[in-house]
Amino acid sequence: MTALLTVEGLRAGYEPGLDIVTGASLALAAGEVLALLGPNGAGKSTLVKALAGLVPVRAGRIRLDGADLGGLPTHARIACGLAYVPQSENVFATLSIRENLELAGFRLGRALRSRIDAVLSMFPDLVDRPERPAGRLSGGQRQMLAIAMALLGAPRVLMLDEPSAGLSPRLVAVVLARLDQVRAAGTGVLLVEQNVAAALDVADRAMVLVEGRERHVGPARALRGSPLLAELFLGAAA
Amino acid sequence: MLQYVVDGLVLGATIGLGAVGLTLTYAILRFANFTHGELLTVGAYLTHGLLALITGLLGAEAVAALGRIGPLGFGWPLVLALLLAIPLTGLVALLIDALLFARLRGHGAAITLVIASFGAALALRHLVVVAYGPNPDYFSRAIPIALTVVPREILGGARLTPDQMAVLALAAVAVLGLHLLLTRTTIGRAMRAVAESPTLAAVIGIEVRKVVRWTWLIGGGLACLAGVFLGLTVQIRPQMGFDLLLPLFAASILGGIGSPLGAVLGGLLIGLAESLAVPLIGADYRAAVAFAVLILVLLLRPQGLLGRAG
Repeated sequence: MTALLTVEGLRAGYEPGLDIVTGASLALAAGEVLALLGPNGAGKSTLVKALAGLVPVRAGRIRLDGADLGGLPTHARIACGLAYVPQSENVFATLSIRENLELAGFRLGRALRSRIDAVLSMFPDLVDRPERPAGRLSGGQRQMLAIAMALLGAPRVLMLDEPSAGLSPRLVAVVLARLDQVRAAGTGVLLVEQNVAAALDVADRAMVLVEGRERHVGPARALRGSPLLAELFLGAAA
Repeated sequence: MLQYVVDGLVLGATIGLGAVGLTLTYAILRFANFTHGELLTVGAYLTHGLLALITGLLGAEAVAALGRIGPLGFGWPLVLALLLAIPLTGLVALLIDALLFARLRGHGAAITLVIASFGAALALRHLVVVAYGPNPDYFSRAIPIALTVVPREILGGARLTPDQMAVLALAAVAVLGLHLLLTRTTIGRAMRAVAESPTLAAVIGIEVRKVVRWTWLIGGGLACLAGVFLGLTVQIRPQMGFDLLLPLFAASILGGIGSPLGAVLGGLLIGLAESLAVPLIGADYRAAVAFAVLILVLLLRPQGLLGRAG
């Protein structure tokens, strides 16, 4: 496996001297879905925020396709091919679907229209009435819009922070099923999820994070039903 | 009566242009910038200083030979001075941000920035007094001759000086240009995104610091234009921006904080309310009427005229 995104010994946290991510390492291949699992407070969201440049990194290396992302501001990381969908406030609520997509693709110039069409073909729910304000969309539609916005720039790596949060089980399946198309396009996906069953259904591999560093990495299929998961989530392994 | 409407529109155009910068900086930097009124003053005085410099370089005779533009009270040297002063005022705004606001951002509450901006406003105003003295001045000593735009038979008629007409026309051009900039250009769209959510803007790849710089440049440039309009239609003096500060805030709140077109509309309404108050209840209460309109609108529509409900 040739790694597209590699993270080595990452330490990151919001406050100086209080690291939430305490030396995490991972490797993600093109077209692979890696689920980041772990109990509350394990540092999953902080890890992806640090990769996006939104949380200060104290130590470690982040490389995307060989390029060192360390020290780059968020917008520069996005320009390098990283995309990040936050858990909440991931769309411009007062703007319409169309305006959200146009803003997210502001750098695409003449290619914008065709990219919007290409991305919307993955999310038919958004095609109807594009003038609807994003703030009035259902939770599932809002997640789809957020993912569509992240995909406009054809990223190399897509990082999703709990896309199933607040969604019904049916919608979770609908949203996560779209990741097959993302994977097929060669994009690597880092999926932070609390919904372990749904994440393992869609992921190729899974990494369990405990206290800010990896406790287990392996094929998603092997982890499904494993006593390790119950042990970790019940806190016995902490 | 119609004369008061026309006078109100001229004042309102100036207030509206000034308020655009205020509403933009509020939307993007999330604080009420009291320095903004002084940017009008700085813009007007920079233009005045550059006009004197151009006159000095070309010689008074050459400037006189260039003459005035048609019936206007000013000539091309003032236009040139204004075109130079607009980016310079934007740079002054950038400099204040770099020296003061950028150092305070992220270190405490928005009130820290507000108080700092109040201090910077005092410092700027007194710097202008030190440099130019406390007395009023004018861009042109030409005596303006008002032209009849509406005959006396219709609601008492209305007269406007050519300079006032130019102010109205240029304000309309500036507002149209701003609208096109915000809706049709990459930087304009990026400014709207940052105003909505700076974090999400960064996540979709926008360089937020660059947007902040452009916001200061555009807000400062428009403040300069508003200051020169005030100088052309009234006079220039060190207090001019400070005196207009409350109407500027009223216009941006009335129009809906964060909405540039709302600020222009709010400015026109505040200008009209102030002007129409004179024949109705007397000049002493004109400022109070503007604020009564503000309170009334906010009671009926808390997000302002063109603001979006949160």
